[in-house]
Amino acid sequence: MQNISKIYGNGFVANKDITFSVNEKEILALVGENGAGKTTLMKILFGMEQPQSGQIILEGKEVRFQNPIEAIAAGIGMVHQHFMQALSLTVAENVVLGIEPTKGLCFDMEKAVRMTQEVSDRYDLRVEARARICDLSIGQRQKVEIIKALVREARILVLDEPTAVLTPQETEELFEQIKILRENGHSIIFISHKLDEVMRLCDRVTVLRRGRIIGSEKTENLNERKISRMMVGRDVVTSIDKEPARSRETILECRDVVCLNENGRKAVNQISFNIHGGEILGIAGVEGNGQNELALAITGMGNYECGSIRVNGQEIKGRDIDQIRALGVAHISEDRMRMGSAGELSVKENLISDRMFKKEFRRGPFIDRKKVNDFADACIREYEIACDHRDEPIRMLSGGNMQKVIVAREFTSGANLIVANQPTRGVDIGTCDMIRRKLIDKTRKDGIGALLISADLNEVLEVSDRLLVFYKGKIAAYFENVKEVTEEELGEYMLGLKTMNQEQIREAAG
Amino acid sequence: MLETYWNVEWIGSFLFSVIRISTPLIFAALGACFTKKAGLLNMALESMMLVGALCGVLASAASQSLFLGFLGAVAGAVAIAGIICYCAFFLKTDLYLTSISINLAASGGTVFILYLVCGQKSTSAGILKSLTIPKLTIPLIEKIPVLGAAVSGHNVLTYVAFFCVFLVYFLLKKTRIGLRIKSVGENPHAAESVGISVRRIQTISFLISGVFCGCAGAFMSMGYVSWFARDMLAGRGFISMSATNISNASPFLSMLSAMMFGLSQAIANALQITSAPAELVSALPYIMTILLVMLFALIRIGRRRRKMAKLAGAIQEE
Amino acid sequence: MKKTRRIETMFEILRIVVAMGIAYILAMLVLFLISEEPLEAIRNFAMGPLSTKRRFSSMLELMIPFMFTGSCMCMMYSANRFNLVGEGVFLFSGCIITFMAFVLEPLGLSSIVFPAVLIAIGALTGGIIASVPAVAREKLEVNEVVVSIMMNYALLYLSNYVLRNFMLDTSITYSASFALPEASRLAGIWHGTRLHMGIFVAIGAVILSWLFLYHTPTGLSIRICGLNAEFSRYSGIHVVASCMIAQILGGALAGMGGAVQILGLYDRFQWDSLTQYGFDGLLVSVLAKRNPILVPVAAFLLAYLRIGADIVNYSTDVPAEFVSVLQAIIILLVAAQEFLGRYKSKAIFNAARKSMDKAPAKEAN
Repeated sequence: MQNISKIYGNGFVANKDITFSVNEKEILALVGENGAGKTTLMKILFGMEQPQSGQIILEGKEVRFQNPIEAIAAGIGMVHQHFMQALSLTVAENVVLGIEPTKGLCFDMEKAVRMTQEVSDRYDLRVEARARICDLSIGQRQKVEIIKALVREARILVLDEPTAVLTPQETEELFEQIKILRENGHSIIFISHKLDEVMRLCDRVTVLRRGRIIGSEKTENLNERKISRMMVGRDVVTSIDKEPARSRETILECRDVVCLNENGRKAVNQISFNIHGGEILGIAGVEGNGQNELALAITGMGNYECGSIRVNGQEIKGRDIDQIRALGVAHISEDRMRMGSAGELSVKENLISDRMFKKEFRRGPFIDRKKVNDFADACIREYEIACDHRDEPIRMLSGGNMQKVIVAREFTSGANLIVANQPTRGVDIGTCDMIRRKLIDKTRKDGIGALLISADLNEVLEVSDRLLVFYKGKIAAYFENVKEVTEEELGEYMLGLKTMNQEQIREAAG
Repeated sequence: MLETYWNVEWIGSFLFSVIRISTPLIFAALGACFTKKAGLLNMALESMMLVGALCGVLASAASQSLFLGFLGAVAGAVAIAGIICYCAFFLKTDLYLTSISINLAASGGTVFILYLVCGQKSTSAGILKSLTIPKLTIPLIEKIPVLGAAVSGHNVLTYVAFFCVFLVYFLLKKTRIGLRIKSVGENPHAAESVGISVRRIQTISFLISGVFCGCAGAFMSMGYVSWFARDMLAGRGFISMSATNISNASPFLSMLSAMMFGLSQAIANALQITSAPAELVSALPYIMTILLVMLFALIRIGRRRRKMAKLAGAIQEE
Repeated sequence: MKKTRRIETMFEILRIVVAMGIAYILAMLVLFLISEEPLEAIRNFAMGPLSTKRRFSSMLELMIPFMFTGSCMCMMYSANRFNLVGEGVFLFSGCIITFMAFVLEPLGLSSIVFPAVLIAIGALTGGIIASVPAVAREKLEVNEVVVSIMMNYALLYLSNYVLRNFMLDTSITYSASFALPEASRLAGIWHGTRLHMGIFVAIGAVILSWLFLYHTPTGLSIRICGLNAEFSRYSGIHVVASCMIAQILGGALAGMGGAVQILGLYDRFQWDSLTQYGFDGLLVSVLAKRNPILVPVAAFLLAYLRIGADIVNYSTDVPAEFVSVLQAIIILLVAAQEFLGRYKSKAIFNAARKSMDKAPAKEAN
């Protein structure tokens, strides 16, 4: 792929002049932080997105994929992070979906089984072809996904964070199979955050950062530390001046919290920490290490199975979300379209969605229009929301302005704990800056506590006072003073190269 | 009192009426299996059947050919399915809203056409010389007491309905289209990722649904009775849809639940000739449907709750 | 940004106009093709409703039930629930209040209090009945369309039962109840027509529904639930309670409608089949874009179509039922996102490009 550039409609540059190659019989690692542009790059390769410039050259010929079907036909296979499978169907049926063999009128199950078996024998991907997908383990389901690509004669196989969902044993097995594939002449692009795996498995590593290629080197010339430095470097340091936090009373108290994800696995595993008034506690970590589940549990959107979460001294288990909000929790959710707003409703209505029953916005049984309008106008002014009018449907706003509406609502809710889950994802720099400054302001001036979850290291390092690092649902590190943390160090904890001892981590609950 | 009912002849004829009443429900429930498997609720079964019934009467009266009449019924129902697909999948109107408004249009539109053809708005009986699909006696079984009376002498379409249960099972389980329908219903992204057009599969599932509803419609106006009457379906489409939903779109279970609803209707019919108030008896099948649907929902929720409790319990123990 | 909004609003209106236009042209075409005197039929259809005092008043009369069921469906539809029980409620409430009128007659209530009490009873009946599919949906996750349609049939037979067994007047030739007490009936307001006080009750109901949905906290929470259930949960709104309230109030509105219709237009209860007014409410609410304040306009349009069709029906040879097909076409086109969608995105795109050409520097920010 040469000089690939992709700029999204909102002006977000996902890939800038990226050139990289993968050779026959090679396992290439594509590493980079969240938002570095790996996924976009792979979507372009797989025909799911079209680049603004650049070309893809496959075996000396320039190709252009309008959709995944063309990419598949050209011999590119993709194993998505979320498996593309129908649960109640059998392995063989899933494998041949779209290219089903037929015998007369009927679907030829025997042939489908044979096709599946053939591939699974050749590459040692052992799966029972007649089993239903829902009876399989996650590791087996991944094999099905690989078989699916191979049955379609894929020569280049893209694996998008394949080990994220696997157990150590399953990971070992997967690596063996990937090596077999290499021996059979396939090229593999392996996307991962886990540097030990990359070092063990891959021949070459290409590092992406902020949409650009940072480097591409043979694995033997690299070590984990080097890669992590390439990945997690900060290019622009926008430092924000802030007074030191004055610790006050404890606002949030989490003790041994355990959350399950939808697969019944422990997404958050016995986590304990405290947040005090007047400070921002940051949580850094590669996405999918339990941060999201924790945020949902604290705000009442999700469940937690064990342990306790206390907000201002009150246990939140069994309380409704409005009660939890009344205890003093505000929530900036990670997904602003699905959870944080209703697109058809006006800016004004989105601003009061959590407080329309409150006395200050009511006159008798009615909503006090004047007060709401004044409030909305004040928010629009203070948070610099660019909209025509307070009655404009929020879906017409840009992403950044939509986020400003949500932030305005949550910051003015009177809560003394703000759970900010990826508050600046996908918004422009100006909005980012404003949201961060407001967050610091709120904690310093009003003495509220904040939990900041972010995949953006710049953000967590600049904004938070104390810092936790999450890895596989556990706290991998705790830093009392963020100013002392280097990003190299942080990278090593985030990627699981190092873990602090229990003693040090326990201080987080102090 | 009991003696009048509890005798061999009565039981035989009662079972006969259960099967007869269940026939259109089975057809429509089978049709709904396809859309349900494709992940959609077909709330327009009612209008598909109604239009099918009218088209059957019109086509058979016009052509005096049974085959063309039947074909007309199927074509009418499929046409309705096509209109729904166009509106819902191409013009992007909400599917619920589309189905409901098509139902309303069909109930008025059929009366409109009926009036144009027959000059009156309630029934085609005695005006249109439409044909009926013949009955079939089964030579040997006919002689067996109770069983013979119950299963022999039905309309051909009744036997077809039961045969269709196997056909649907075969189509869903053993053919390519069945496989694709199921994959679209379970994970549309997966289907899309291997080049299957979700919209096309959903359209096909609706059209197949239409074919079955056409059969049901033909049975209603060319078998169950021999004329078309306004609103002659009286909610059967929704009852059939419930039958499919209860049974999670399995063809055999759908047939059984359709027959369960048929049974409650047959009981109501049997009670009509007693001293029980006729109006209340007529309401019975509908009330039974509501109660059964709620009962099954309760069972489903209870099962899910127990499963969740078990999962949480396992974690607590750790 | 401002332009986009204006274009969207324009296309919303355009879509309604075009949908009505297409339906209207189709109606003309049907009349032209099947009527023996097509010009007469078309003239009647288009001008008929406005031609005489009697016809005009009957159009206003017809708006009354449409306004009630329209605001009923606005309630349901705002919570994104297709609870169609309004149809059965309308009929059954008419039956119940007739029965209650006979029960309450001995009290000798005045001609203002008596109808008011009966309408309140109708509302209560409607609310109670509508709570059945509402509970089924919110607590048991049962499809509300199925339950409400089944209930409509059950209510029809139940009402027939009440009529035949408790209040059938055997001294008249047709099947109807005893005559309603004079004091219970709604007074006429326009001499020489059948238009009655009910129109004020209907306008009151519409205004109250609008105030409720658009100016009270509960109303806003209902609309949030209808638009994005996940967001409403996030905001701390009780989804189950909000949707239940919407459906129960919707049922109450339909119940009032049934009561007003009987008390205003009939001297005896005589409905023996579903009235269709409940289903018409769906069209009214779709045309009104779920906003009760637009319901009178939508009700007027529908009443105009209906009366036109009725006039055609008795003056020529075309049955009025063709309107139901037109109604469906209007619903489908008005609610179709993609109908005229291509023109809309083109217009927005052009406007955006124009503003970019004009002020490239500003857009870059």
